[in-house]
Amino acid sequence: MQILALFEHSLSIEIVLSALMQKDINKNYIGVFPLDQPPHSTKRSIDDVQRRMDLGFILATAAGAIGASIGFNLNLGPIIWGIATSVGGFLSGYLINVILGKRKKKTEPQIILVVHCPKSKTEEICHLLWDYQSIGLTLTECEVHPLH
Amino acid sequence: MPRRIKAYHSCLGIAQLYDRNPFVVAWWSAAFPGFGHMLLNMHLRGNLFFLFEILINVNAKLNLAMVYTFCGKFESAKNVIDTRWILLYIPFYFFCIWDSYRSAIDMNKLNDLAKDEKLTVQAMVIKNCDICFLDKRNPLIAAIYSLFMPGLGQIYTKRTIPAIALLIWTLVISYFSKDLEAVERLVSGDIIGATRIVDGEWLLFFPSLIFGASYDALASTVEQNHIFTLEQKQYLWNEWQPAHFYINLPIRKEE
Repeated sequence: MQILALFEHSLSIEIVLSALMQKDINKNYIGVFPLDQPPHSTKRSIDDVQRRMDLGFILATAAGAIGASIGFNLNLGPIIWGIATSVGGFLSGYLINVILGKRKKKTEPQIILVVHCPKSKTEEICHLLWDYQSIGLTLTECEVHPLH
Repeated sequence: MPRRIKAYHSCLGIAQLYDRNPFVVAWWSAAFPGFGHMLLNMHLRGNLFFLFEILINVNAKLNLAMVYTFCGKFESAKNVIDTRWILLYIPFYFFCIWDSYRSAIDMNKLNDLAKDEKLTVQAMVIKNCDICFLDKRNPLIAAIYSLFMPGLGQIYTKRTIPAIALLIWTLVISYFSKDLEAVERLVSGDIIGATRIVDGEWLLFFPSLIFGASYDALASTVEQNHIFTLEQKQYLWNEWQPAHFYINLPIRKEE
């Protein structure tokens, strides 16, 4: 049997590989193929978590400093005004970035794992892959298996 | 070993190049001299600037003058400033902004040169003093911890050098600004007492300290996750591509 599974980059893919070795699957029967991202998404854009928050943090700092200063003269005092204006600054900066940036869904880079194994072990290995956060999996059968 | 490396990993954490917006770096230098350099992983000069910023600002009473200015009391602002210190601040301040801006541009160029090179970063470092490993971490958790206490998010992402500096400065600034005493009074409803006890000179460090630390934690976690992915990808391509591997096509069942 041949198992094809999809993973995201994380430590669990490496744990899966070592678990497969322990289950006596020969390294020659395991292929791992990390996929490249589409070319436009490797260029860093405003869609990234961090880029989306750049302006939020900037405006929060500026608004917080001014708000806390003015707060010394206002009813509720510098701490409450400082916090309130920071939150306001952060939200307005975040909104501006989100509105200006085109919202494209950014996907994580992924990995294809291919395992050739005897039929008897198929179920066991599928369980293992699901347990370690495989995000998709399929089985294919071949008439004359070249390896087993 | 490639001539230009993209990242270096030791038991004090990861230093890496990545594509930065030089204006954002310059902004953080303007908000709190030293922060721009900390974002660029230039910790030695970043800490020197931290020290100077706090030393000069506190002695010149610059933050207090800011409070008076924003409240419209321009006479008080003029009187409170110590001219012996304030004139030191000006060249230092603008040099710091300019230097971080220039460094960010140069480091972006180096990053362009380094990004096609082989990644030499170690996946794991074990030393007597610490254990560090590449892993995926959640950027938002890092940012939130640094919002509560600047430095904690840096510990979460294993940026030990800025974590030490930020934690110490948080301690110092929090102690002198008496912010937590004021919060305690606010909670018990004594708003006027809270305003009176808090020290404006030290309190005004907080917005830039908190948000700068939080931004640093967020940005560096995102970039370290990226290094983790790159390193793992390189490993998988090198180690897990058997020579005569082929993928079987499924057999279509005859109807």
